[in-house]
Amino acid sequence: MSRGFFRIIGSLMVLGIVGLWVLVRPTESRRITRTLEALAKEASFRPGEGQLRRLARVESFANAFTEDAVIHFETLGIPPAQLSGRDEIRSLAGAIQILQGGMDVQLFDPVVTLGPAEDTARVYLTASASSGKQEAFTAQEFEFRLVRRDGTWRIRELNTVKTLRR
Amino acid sequence: MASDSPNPNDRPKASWLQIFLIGRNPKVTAIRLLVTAGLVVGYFRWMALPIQVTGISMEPTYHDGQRTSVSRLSLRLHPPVRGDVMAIRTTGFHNLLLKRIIALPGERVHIRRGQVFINGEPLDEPYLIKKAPWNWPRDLEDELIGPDEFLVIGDNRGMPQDRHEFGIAKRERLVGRANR
Repeated sequence: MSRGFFRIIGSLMVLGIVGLWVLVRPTESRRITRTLEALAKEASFRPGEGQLRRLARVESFANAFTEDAVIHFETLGIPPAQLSGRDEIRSLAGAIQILQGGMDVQLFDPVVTLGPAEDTARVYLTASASSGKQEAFTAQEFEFRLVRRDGTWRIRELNTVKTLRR
Repeated sequence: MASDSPNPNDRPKASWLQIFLIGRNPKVTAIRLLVTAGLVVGYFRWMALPIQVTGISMEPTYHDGQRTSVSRLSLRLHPPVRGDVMAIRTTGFHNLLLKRIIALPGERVHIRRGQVFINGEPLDEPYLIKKAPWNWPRDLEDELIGPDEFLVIGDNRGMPQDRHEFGIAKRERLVGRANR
Protein backbone atom coordinates (compact mmCIF):
# COMPACT_ATOMS: atom_id res chain seq x y z
CA MET A 1 0.00 0.00 0.00
CA SER A 2 1.19 3.53 -0.78
CA ARG A 3 2.66 5.97 1.74
CA GLY A 4 -0.26 8.33 1.07
CA PHE A 5 -2.64 5.67 2.32
CA PHE A 6 -0.76 5.27 5.60
CA ARG A 7 -0.48 9.03 5.98
CA ILE A 8 -4.24 9.44 5.66
CA ILE A 9 -4.98 6.56 8.04
CA GLY A 10 -2.44 8.02 10.54
CA SER A 11 -3.96 11.51 10.28
CA LEU A 12 -7.46 10.11 10.78
CA MET A 13 -6.30 8.21 13.88
CA VAL A 14 -4.67 11.33 15.38
CA LEU A 15 -7.82 13.35 14.61
CA GLY A 16 -9.94 10.61 16.21
CA ILE A 17 -7.84 10.56 19.39
CA VAL A 18 -7.88 14.38 19.68
CA GLY A 19 -11.64 14.40 19.04
CA LEU A 20 -12.21 11.71 21.64
CA TRP A 21 -10.18 13.63 24.20
CA VAL A 22 -12.12 16.83 23.51
CA LEU A 23 -15.37 14.86 23.91
CA VAL A 24 -14.59 12.96 27.10
CA ARG A 25 -12.06 15.08 29.01
CA PRO A 26 -13.49 15.89 32.43
CA THR A 27 -14.70 19.46 32.93
CA GLU A 28 -17.11 20.88 35.51
CA SER A 29 -19.69 21.45 32.78
CA ARG A 30 -19.43 17.82 31.77
CA ARG A 31 -19.72 16.65 35.40
CA ILE A 32 -22.89 18.71 35.78
CA THR A 33 -24.34 17.34 32.56
CA ARG A 34 -23.58 13.81 33.75
CA THR A 35 -25.25 14.54 37.11
CA LEU A 36 -28.39 15.70 35.33
CA GLU A 37 -28.36 12.75 32.95
CA ALA A 38 -28.15 10.45 35.96
CA LEU A 39 -31.09 12.31 37.49
CA ALA A 40 -33.17 11.73 34.34
CA LYS A 41 -32.22 8.06 34.47
CA GLU A 42 -33.33 7.81 38.09
CA ALA A 43 -36.58 9.59 37.27
CA SER A 44 -37.29 7.05 34.52
CA PHE A 45 -38.55 3.57 35.33
CA ARG A 46 -40.15 0.62 33.60
CA PRO A 47 -43.48 -0.90 34.58
CA GLY A 48 -43.14 -3.94 36.80
CA GLU A 49 -39.85 -2.91 38.43
CA GLY A 50 -39.21 -4.37 41.88
CA GLN A 51 -40.10 -2.38 45.00
CA LEU A 52 -36.50 -2.29 46.26
CA ARG A 53 -35.22 -0.99 42.95
CA ARG A 54 -37.88 1.73 43.00
CA LEU A 55 -36.99 2.75 46.55
CA ALA A 56 -33.33 2.94 45.60
CA ARG A 57 -34.27 5.12 42.64
CA VAL A 58 -36.31 7.48 44.80
CA GLU A 59 -33.44 7.82 47.28
CA SER A 60 -30.91 8.43 44.55
CA PHE A 61 -33.22 10.96 42.88
CA ALA A 62 -33.76 12.88 46.13
CA ASN A 63 -30.03 12.86 46.90
CA ALA A 64 -29.35 14.80 43.71
CA PHE A 65 -30.95 17.78 45.48
CA THR A 66 -29.65 19.82 48.44
CA GLU A 67 -31.50 19.53 51.77
CA ASP A 68 -33.10 22.95 51.21
CA ALA A 69 -33.81 22.55 47.49
CA VAL A 70 -36.85 24.21 45.95
CA ILE A 71 -38.80 23.12 42.87
CA HIS A 72 -41.25 25.40 41.07
CA PHE A 73 -43.15 23.47 38.43
CA GLU A 74 -45.66 24.91 35.99
CA THR A 75 -46.45 23.33 32.65
CA LEU A 76 -49.46 22.91 30.35
CA GLY A 77 -52.17 20.64 31.69
CA ILE A 78 -50.60 20.20 35.14
CA PRO A 79 -51.49 22.47 38.07
CA PRO A 80 -48.57 24.65 39.27
CA ALA A 81 -46.67 23.06 42.15
CA GLN A 82 -43.93 24.05 44.56
CA LEU A 83 -41.82 21.65 46.59
CA SER A 84 -39.51 22.73 49.39
CA GLY A 85 -36.82 20.52 50.84
CA ARG A 86 -35.51 17.09 50.05
CA ASP A 87 -38.26 15.30 51.99
CA GLU A 88 -41.03 16.77 49.85
CA ILE A 89 -39.05 15.94 46.71
CA ARG A 90 -38.57 12.37 47.93
CA SER A 91 -42.32 12.06 48.60
CA LEU A 92 -43.20 13.29 45.11
CA ALA A 93 -40.64 10.98 43.47
CA GLY A 94 -42.13 8.09 45.44
CA ALA A 95 -45.65 9.02 44.35
CA ILE A 96 -44.63 9.17 40.69
CA GLN A 97 -43.04 5.72 40.91
CA ILE A 98 -46.46 4.10 41.38
CA LEU A 99 -47.53 5.11 37.84
CA GLN A 100 -48.59 1.93 36.10
CA GLY A 101 -47.11 2.62 32.67
CA GLY A 102 -43.61 3.50 33.83
CA MET A 103 -41.95 6.80 33.02
CA ASP A 104 -39.36 7.87 30.49
CA VAL A 105 -37.56 11.17 31.06
CA GLN A 106 -35.16 12.56 28.48
CA LEU A 107 -33.00 15.67 28.56
CA PHE A 108 -31.85 17.65 25.54
CA ASP A 109 -29.56 20.56 24.70
CA PRO A 110 -28.18 21.51 28.14
CA VAL A 111 -26.62 24.97 28.31
CA VAL A 112 -24.30 25.16 31.33
CA THR A 113 -23.04 28.43 32.80
CA LEU A 114 -20.58 28.17 35.67
CA GLY A 115 -20.31 30.75 38.44
CA PRO A 116 -17.04 32.70 38.85
CA ALA A 117 -15.64 30.31 41.49
CA GLU A 118 -16.97 27.24 39.64
CA ASP A 119 -18.89 26.19 42.75
CA THR A 120 -22.28 27.29 41.46
CA ALA A 121 -23.86 26.73 38.08
CA ARG A 122 -26.98 27.47 36.12
CA VAL A 123 -28.22 25.03 33.52
CA TYR A 124 -30.97 25.54 30.98
CA LEU A 125 -32.20 22.44 29.20
CA THR A 126 -35.22 20.94 27.52
CA ALA A 127 -36.86 17.81 28.88
CA SER A 128 -39.57 15.47 27.79
CA ALA A 129 -41.43 12.93 29.88
CA SER A 130 -43.87 10.24 28.91
CA SER A 131 -45.77 7.66 30.89
CA GLY A 132 -46.65 4.63 28.79
CA LYS A 133 -47.94 5.94 25.48
CA GLN A 134 -49.08 9.24 27.00
CA GLU A 135 -46.86 12.31 26.90
CA ALA A 136 -46.74 13.99 30.31
CA PHE A 137 -44.97 16.94 28.70
CA THR A 138 -42.81 17.46 25.66
CA ALA A 139 -40.25 20.16 25.08
CA GLN A 140 -40.53 21.72 28.51
CA GLU A 141 -37.63 24.01 29.32
CA PHE A 142 -36.11 23.97 32.80
CA GLU A 143 -33.64 26.07 34.74
CA PHE A 144 -31.45 24.21 37.21
CA ARG A 145 -29.40 26.06 39.80
CA LEU A 146 -26.71 23.86 41.19
CA VAL A 147 -24.16 24.16 43.94
CA ARG A 148 -20.99 22.13 44.47
CA ARG A 149 -20.59 20.82 48.00
CA ASP A 150 -17.75 18.48 48.97
CA GLY A 151 -16.93 17.98 45.32
CA THR A 152 -20.47 16.89 44.42
CA TRP A 153 -22.88 18.93 42.35
CA ARG A 154 -26.39 19.10 43.82
CA ILE A 155 -29.51 20.88 42.63
CA ARG A 156 -30.53 23.80 44.84
CA GLU A 157 -33.36 25.13 42.69
CA LEU A 158 -35.36 23.81 39.76
CA ASN A 159 -37.76 26.01 37.80
CA THR A 160 -39.82 25.51 34.68
CA VAL A 161 -39.12 28.08 31.96
CA LYS A 162 -41.79 29.20 29.52
CA THR A 163 -40.63 29.05 25.91
CA LEU A 164 -43.47 31.37 24.96
CA ARG A 165 -44.35 34.31 27.20
CA ARG A 166 -48.02 34.95 27.88
CA MET B 1 18.36 3.02 -26.73
CA ALA B 2 16.40 2.23 -23.59
CA SER B 3 15.90 5.07 -20.99
CA ASP B 4 16.72 4.53 -17.27
CA SER B 5 14.07 7.00 -16.02
CA PRO B 6 11.04 5.31 -14.41
CA ASN B 7 7.85 5.19 -16.40
CA PRO B 8 4.96 6.86 -14.50
CA ASN B 9 2.75 3.99 -15.56
CA ASP B 10 5.02 1.60 -13.66
CA ARG B 11 3.75 2.77 -10.20
CA PRO B 12 2.86 -0.10 -7.87
CA LYS B 13 -0.77 -1.08 -8.24
CA ALA B 14 -3.10 -0.04 -5.41
CA SER B 15 -4.51 -2.91 -3.39
CA TRP B 16 -8.25 -3.66 -3.43
CA LEU B 17 -8.46 -2.62 0.25
CA GLN B 18 -6.96 0.79 -0.48
CA ILE B 19 -9.23 1.28 -3.49
CA PHE B 20 -12.24 0.24 -1.38
CA LEU B 21 -11.35 2.53 1.55
CA ILE B 22 -9.90 5.65 -0.03
CA GLY B 23 -10.04 5.16 -3.82
CA ARG B 24 -7.17 5.17 -6.33
CA ASN B 25 -6.14 8.72 -5.46
CA PRO B 26 -6.27 9.40 -1.68
CA LYS B 27 -5.95 13.17 -2.07
CA VAL B 28 -8.91 13.40 -4.43
CA THR B 29 -10.94 11.14 -2.13
CA ALA B 30 -10.09 13.28 0.90
CA ILE B 31 -11.15 16.46 -0.91
CA ARG B 32 -14.37 14.80 -2.09
CA LEU B 33 -15.13 13.66 1.46
CA LEU B 34 -14.48 17.10 2.94
CA VAL B 35 -16.61 18.85 0.32
CA THR B 36 -19.46 16.35 0.75
CA ALA B 37 -19.32 16.59 4.56
CA GLY B 38 -19.26 20.39 4.33
CA LEU B 39 -22.24 20.43 1.99
CA VAL B 40 -24.27 18.04 4.17
CA VAL B 41 -23.47 19.90 7.42
CA GLY B 42 -24.06 23.26 5.76
CA TYR B 43 -27.38 22.14 4.25
CA PHE B 44 -28.80 20.82 7.51
CA ARG B 45 -27.34 23.63 9.64
CA TRP B 46 -28.12 26.69 7.57
CA MET B 47 -30.71 25.66 5.01
CA ALA B 48 -33.17 22.96 6.06
CA LEU B 49 -33.90 21.00 9.20
CA PRO B 50 -35.85 17.75 8.88
CA ILE B 51 -38.55 17.52 11.56
CA GLN B 52 -41.36 15.24 12.66
CA VAL B 53 -44.52 16.84 14.01
CA THR B 54 -45.63 15.65 17.45
CA GLY B 55 -49.03 16.58 18.84
CA ILE B 56 -52.20 18.13 17.48
CA SER B 57 -51.75 21.84 18.11
CA MET B 58 -51.15 22.59 14.40
CA GLU B 59 -54.11 20.55 13.08
CA PRO B 60 -55.44 20.68 10.37
CA THR B 61 -52.33 22.19 8.70
CA TYR B 62 -49.88 19.66 10.16
CA HIS B 63 -50.77 16.28 11.59
CA ASP B 64 -49.32 14.26 14.45
CA GLY B 65 -46.44 12.17 13.09
CA GLN B 66 -46.13 14.12 9.82
CA ARG B 67 -42.60 14.57 8.50
CA THR B 68 -41.59 17.88 6.99
CA SER B 69 -38.70 20.32 7.01
CA VAL B 70 -37.92 23.78 8.27
CA SER B 71 -36.31 26.21 5.87
CA ARG B 72 -33.68 28.22 7.69
CA LEU B 73 -32.48 29.89 4.52
CA SER B 74 -35.95 31.28 3.83
CA LEU B 75 -35.96 33.01 7.22
CA ARG B 76 -32.53 34.51 6.49
CA LEU B 77 -33.69 35.83 3.13
CA HIS B 78 -37.16 37.10 4.07
CA PRO B 79 -38.29 38.56 7.41
CA PRO B 80 -41.15 36.77 9.20
CA VAL B 81 -44.64 37.93 8.25
CA ARG B 82 -48.11 37.25 9.61
CA GLY B 83 -49.35 33.81 8.62
CA ASP B 84 -45.91 32.19 8.42
CA VAL B 85 -45.62 28.87 10.24
CA MET B 86 -42.39 29.05 12.18
CA ALA B 87 -40.27 26.57 14.08
CA ILE B 88 -39.34 27.97 17.47
CA ARG B 89 -36.38 26.57 19.35
CA THR B 90 -36.26 25.61 23.00
CA THR B 91 -32.76 25.47 24.55
CA GLY B 92 -31.57 23.81 21.35
CA PHE B 93 -32.79 22.24 18.14
CA HIS B 94 -33.84 18.78 19.39
CA ASN B 95 -37.31 20.00 20.33
CA LEU B 96 -38.95 22.75 18.29
CA LEU B 97 -42.39 24.29 18.62
CA LEU B 98 -44.35 24.72 15.39
CA LYS B 99 -46.64 27.78 15.52
CA ARG B 100 -48.16 30.36 13.21
CA ILE B 101 -47.26 34.04 13.47
CA ILE B 102 -50.38 35.99 14.38
CA ALA B 103 -49.10 39.39 15.48
CA LEU B 104 -45.97 41.33 14.55
CA PRO B 105 -43.69 43.67 16.52
CA GLY B 106 -45.39 46.88 17.64
CA GLU B 107 -48.93 45.58 17.14
CA ARG B 108 -51.63 45.53 19.80
CA VAL B 109 -53.48 42.26 20.01
CA HIS B 110 -56.19 40.54 21.97
CA ILE B 111 -58.44 37.50 21.56
CA ARG B 112 -62.14 37.64 22.47
CA ARG B 113 -64.33 34.54 22.29
CA GLY B 114 -61.82 33.00 19.85
CA GLN B 115 -61.58 36.00 17.50
CA VAL B 116 -58.15 37.62 17.17
CA PHE B 117 -58.07 41.42 16.98
CA ILE B 118 -54.97 43.23 15.69
CA ASN B 119 -54.89 46.95 16.50
CA GLY B 120 -58.65 46.70 17.08
CA GLU B 121 -59.42 45.05 13.71
CA PRO B 122 -60.64 41.42 13.52
CA LEU B 123 -58.11 39.11 11.84
CA ASP B 124 -59.29 36.83 9.04
CA GLU B 125 -57.84 33.35 9.59
CA PRO B 126 -58.87 31.04 6.74
CA TYR B 127 -56.60 28.22 8.00
CA LEU B 128 -58.80 27.69 11.10
CA ILE B 129 -61.59 25.13 11.16
CA LYS B 130 -62.97 25.70 14.63
CA LYS B 131 -62.59 28.47 17.18
CA ALA B 132 -63.07 27.70 20.86
CA PRO B 133 -64.03 30.76 22.93
CA TRP B 134 -60.50 31.77 23.91
CA ASN B 135 -59.90 35.02 25.76
CA TRP B 136 -56.42 36.51 25.96
CA PRO B 137 -54.95 38.36 27.76
CA ARG B 138 -56.93 37.51 30.85
CA ASP B 139 -57.11 41.15 31.99
CA LEU B 140 -59.04 42.01 28.79
CA GLU B 141 -56.46 44.68 27.85
CA ASP B 142 -54.61 44.79 24.52
CA GLU B 143 -51.16 43.18 24.62
CA LEU B 144 -48.44 45.25 22.99
CA ILE B 145 -45.98 43.05 21.07
CA GLY B 146 -42.39 44.14 21.73
CA PRO B 147 -39.91 45.27 19.06
CA ASP B 148 -38.28 41.84 18.61
CA GLU B 149 -41.29 39.70 19.43
CA PHE B 150 -44.08 37.83 17.67
CA LEU B 151 -47.35 36.38 18.93
CA VAL B 152 -47.46 32.75 17.79
CA ILE B 153 -50.40 30.33 18.06
CA GLY B 154 -51.13 26.87 16.68
CA ASP B 155 -53.90 26.33 14.11
CA ASN B 156 -55.92 24.00 16.33
CA ARG B 157 -58.03 26.68 18.02
CA GLY B 158 -60.71 24.12 18.81
CA MET B 159 -58.51 22.96 21.68
CA PRO B 160 -59.13 24.28 25.18
CA GLN B 161 -57.00 27.38 25.69
CA ASP B 162 -55.24 26.02 28.77
CA ARG B 163 -54.11 22.91 26.85
CA HIS B 164 -52.62 24.85 23.96
CA GLU B 165 -49.14 26.30 24.15
CA PHE B 166 -49.10 29.75 22.61
CA GLY B 167 -47.66 33.14 23.45
CA ILE B 168 -44.99 35.63 22.58
CA ALA B 169 -41.73 34.41 21.06
CA LYS B 170 -38.52 36.37 20.84
CA ARG B 171 -37.11 36.87 17.33
CA GLU B 172 -33.91 35.06 18.33
CA ARG B 173 -35.92 31.89 18.97
CA LEU B 174 -37.30 31.65 15.44
CA VAL B 175 -35.42 28.89 13.62
CA GLY B 176 -37.06 28.87 10.21
CA ARG B 177 -40.23 28.54 8.14
CA ALA B 178 -41.95 25.19 8.09
CA ASN B 179 -42.52 23.70 4.65
CA ARG B 180 -45.77 21.90 3.80
